[in-house]
Order: sequence, then C-alpha cells, then structure tokens
Amino acid sequence: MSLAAGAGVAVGLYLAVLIAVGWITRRRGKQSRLGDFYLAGRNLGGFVLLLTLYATQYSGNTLLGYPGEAVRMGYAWVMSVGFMMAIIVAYLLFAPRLQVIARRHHFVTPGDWISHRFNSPALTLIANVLLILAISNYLLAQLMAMGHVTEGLSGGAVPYWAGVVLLTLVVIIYETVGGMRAVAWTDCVQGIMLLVGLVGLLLAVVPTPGHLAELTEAVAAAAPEKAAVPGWELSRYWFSTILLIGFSGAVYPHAIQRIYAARDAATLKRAFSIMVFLPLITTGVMFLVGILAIAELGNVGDADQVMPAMLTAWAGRSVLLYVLSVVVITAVVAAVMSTADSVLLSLSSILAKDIVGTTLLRGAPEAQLTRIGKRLSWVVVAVLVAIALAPRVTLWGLTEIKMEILAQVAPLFILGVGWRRLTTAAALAGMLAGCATYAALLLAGRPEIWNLHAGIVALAVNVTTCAVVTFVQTQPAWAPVDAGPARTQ
Amino acid sequence: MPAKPVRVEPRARLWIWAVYLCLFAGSIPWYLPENAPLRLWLGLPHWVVISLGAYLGVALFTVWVVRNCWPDPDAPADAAADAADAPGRAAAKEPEP
Repeated sequence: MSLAAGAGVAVGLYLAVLIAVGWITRRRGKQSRLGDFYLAGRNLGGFVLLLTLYATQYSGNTLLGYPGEAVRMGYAWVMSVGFMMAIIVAYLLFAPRLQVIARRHHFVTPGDWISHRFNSPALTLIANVLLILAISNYLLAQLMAMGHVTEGLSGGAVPYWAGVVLLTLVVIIYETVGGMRAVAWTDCVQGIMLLVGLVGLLLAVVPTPGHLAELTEAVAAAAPEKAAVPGWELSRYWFSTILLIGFSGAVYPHAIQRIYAARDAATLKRAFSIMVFLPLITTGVMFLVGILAIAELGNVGDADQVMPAMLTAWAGRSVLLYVLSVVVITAVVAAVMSTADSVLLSLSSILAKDIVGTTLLRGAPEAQLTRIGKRLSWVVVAVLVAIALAPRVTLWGLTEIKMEILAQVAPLFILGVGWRRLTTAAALAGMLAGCATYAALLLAGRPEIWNLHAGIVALAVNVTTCAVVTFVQTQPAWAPVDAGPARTQ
Repeated sequence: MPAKPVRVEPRARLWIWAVYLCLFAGSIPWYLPENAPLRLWLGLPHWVVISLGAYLGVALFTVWVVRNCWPDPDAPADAAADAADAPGRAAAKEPEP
C-alpha cells in the first residue's frame, strides 16, 4: 500500500474518532453556560490539561514550518527548543496569580481579566481587537497547514482546497457540538498521536552520534554557514525570538483559557512541570528533521513541504519507517487540527462574550451568547477558509506577524498581574504606542531593527510608556507629603 | 514539621529571573568566536550541544521553581496580593475626594 493510501486510511479513522469523541463529550455536561461550553466547567484534570496544552501549543507551524526554517537557517534553529520553553517560563510571571483570580471571579475570556483589572471598556475592546486579529491570523495558518498536509502527503491526490475544506469541516462539527470538553478530549487523542509519532520518529531516524557526525560534516561541507557558530547578528535575532515567542506565546487567548479551565493550582503546576520538557522532543525533533533534510533533500523550493517530502522519502525504506510515517502524518494532521479547534473556540468566546455580549446583546442570557458563539464560529471559519484558499505567505511568516501583535497585549497580563501600580491610562497608552511603533516599522519596511524583531522594539516602547505614564500619574501618591526637600546625591 | 507555606510568587523573586537570564544567555553562542573550527560533540556542533544543555537546565530549574516557589492558593492569602487583584477597579469604585 502506498504511503498516501495508508495515511488516508489512518487519517480517515482518526477523523471518525474525533467526531465520536465530540459527540460523547456533548452528553457529559450542560452546554448552555459560557463557563461550561468554553471552559469545560473549569474542571480540567491533570492528564487532560497537559495534553490539551501540549496539542494546542504545537501546531501546523511547528510540524510544517519549523523543519523548513531549520533547512533555511541550519543548526541555529536549535533556538526553537528555547523559545518554546520560554513560553512556560513566561507563564511563571502571571499564571500563579491569574489562576486564583480567574477562579474567584469566574473569568471566561482573556478580556474578563483585562476588564476586571483595568475597568476600562476602551482598553478591553482594543485588546480584544488585537487578540482577534492575532488569533484569526493563527487560525488562518492552521487552515493553510491543513491544505499543505493533505496535498503534500497524498502526493497531490487530495488537492490543497479539499484538505482545507474537509479538515475544517470536521473541526467545526466537533467544536460546536461539544465545546471545550470536545476540544480538550480530542486534544488528548491528538496529543498522544503527536507524542507517539515524534518519539517513534526520534527513535527510528534520529541517528547515533556516529551517524550524526557524518550528517554534520556533510552539512558543513555543503553549506558551512549552517553549521558554524552564529555571528552577532544571528545571536541578536535568536535573543529577540526567545523574548518574542516567550512573551506572546504565553498570552495566547486559548492558553489563557486553559489556565482558567484548570481544576486547581496543583493541576496547573503538574502540567507546567511536564510541559517544559516537551520542546526537547517536539521542536527538538523537528529541528533534527530539518537538519536531516539539508543533507537528504538539499534546497527545497517550498519550505512548508520539507516535512511531507522527508516522510515520503523515509516511508520507502522499511516497514517500520512506513508505519511510523503513517503515524507521524496522522500526528501532523492532529497537531494542525488540535490548534485550529482551540483557537476557533477561543475566537468564538471572545466574539460572543466580549464583543457581541457587550454591545448588540448586552445583558443577554448565557445560553443565548453560547448559541451566538457557535454560529459565529461557522461565519469565522467560512471567511478564513476563503482566504486560506489563496495563500500568499509561508506558515512561519504568518506566525511572526501574529506573535508581534500578541506581544503588545502581553503587558496587560504580565505587568497587570505583577505591578499593582500600573494604571489603566498607562496600560492603554503603552499598548497604543506599541501598536503604533510596530505598524510604523512595518510600513517603513523595517521588520527588524539591529536584528531585533519590530514586535520586540514595539514591546520595549510599550513597556517604557507604561512605566513613564504610571510614574507620572502616581507620583503624588508615592511622594510623602512631609518628605521635606528632596535629597540629592 | 510541616513545610513553611510559600507566599512570594516566582515573579517577585529577582534571583529566579537572574538564573533564567544566565541560562538563556548561555544557550545563545554569542560568547564563542564566530570563526571557530567545527568541533563535534555527540555528533553535533559543540555550540549546539551547549545550547541544548542550557535548555535542559531551563527545564529542570523550572520544575524546581514550580514545585518550590509557586504559592499554594489554599494557604491564607496575604492582603497585599488580594488588593493587587484589581487596583484599577477599586480606584474606580472609590474615587479620591
């Protein structure tokens, strides 16, 4: 049986399992309340929380975009292990406190925290618009990945458009049927597939030190710059990427909602303790796949087709590699779908509760908002599918744009939780200054300054503005009335 | 004897962030000469192995921080942290004269 046929059977079975899981989870809880539909009743246990965080965080970008980046950049793409870990580290800045507050005040969306902390409809609205822009972009990347996966792995038998439409249809069905419960439990299936596939691949194709040495020497001979110690320019880019992905990945709306949905702090702690190791066997394996591709494929025209091309090449070598390739193909589909479902659910919750629920349907009952959210999911998906059918950028390109927008919202969580003195006006001014800086740099054709991402430069402007405005606004409060003459040194 | 409850969150402990800074800075080979000849450790360029080692350090240190520096929310909450919930909202409800 050809790889495409074997993978087709495995993916077909897998899609049937997803719809069945969605249907079963629908019967396990009331779906009319926002907290139930969007947060699974705030009762996700350790196993489910870990796998839903994992399956959500690693996406089509990781499995399709990252090997392509490793081919382009060489060994320096080991940075991908670090920036995925930086997300977990960034959580430590706000998640312990946010989880407690969210449970106390029954938050559903990221906007609930912003509204609670800053009490400013304008600030909440602007932040929500940025979040919607960023995760719509992210969802679009997943839909594009669906098309690339099916087209690349079927050898063109399933065209790009059919992959986008079919997989999106499955996601939207189980998402609207079962809400977060369906998404979390299907994420478990998807997370296990991903882990099994990647660990299997690691054991099967990742070479011994001797084989690795041959590979490294071959890469160094063909493209010395890809194995050489990176220069200062690349080191700055590396540093900037760790900061960018760390700060922005931590405030993904769907990740924030998983913090809200954790059963308790102990569950969240256990999940983070394991999550922090997973980049080593996820982005680490993708990094090695890319390095192997440099030696085996040479220059690949379409960076997003590196992974499909490698799987197709491996599958012809042995039965074990054939089976593992089928598992990995299913895992790739799983990774794309698990991120798409979570992002779609999050997008639906923000649109229904924070946008429609505060404007057109202010004060509407939760059951009505939940129904509206489900319908909005279909509308959003229809629009994004239409855009995905005419893609113009690579997956990694989409990721970077999304991250740089998200970074401008990060201070609302990180400084908002950690810095009590931060004022509403300062947070609003900072976010606007950050967005304006980012937009100006992009319009000026400067996506990087001194090898730092425009989003990181904008984040620095954002945080500085927050600090300056806060100090100006709160000065009377922290200057003692009877302090006497200021001391000079 | 029961362990002393943790009250201070990781975000407020500067030394934790200093350790993270050192680990992440160590993961980026800015301190190695750019034109160094290729040296293989375990079949990989040596700077890649150093980088992976630093990331393993980040993971292990994070587990330690999560286990030892993450306050138990069931412990009596400290007043300052509670007040930090929503200063903006509190200020809006109780405007200063």
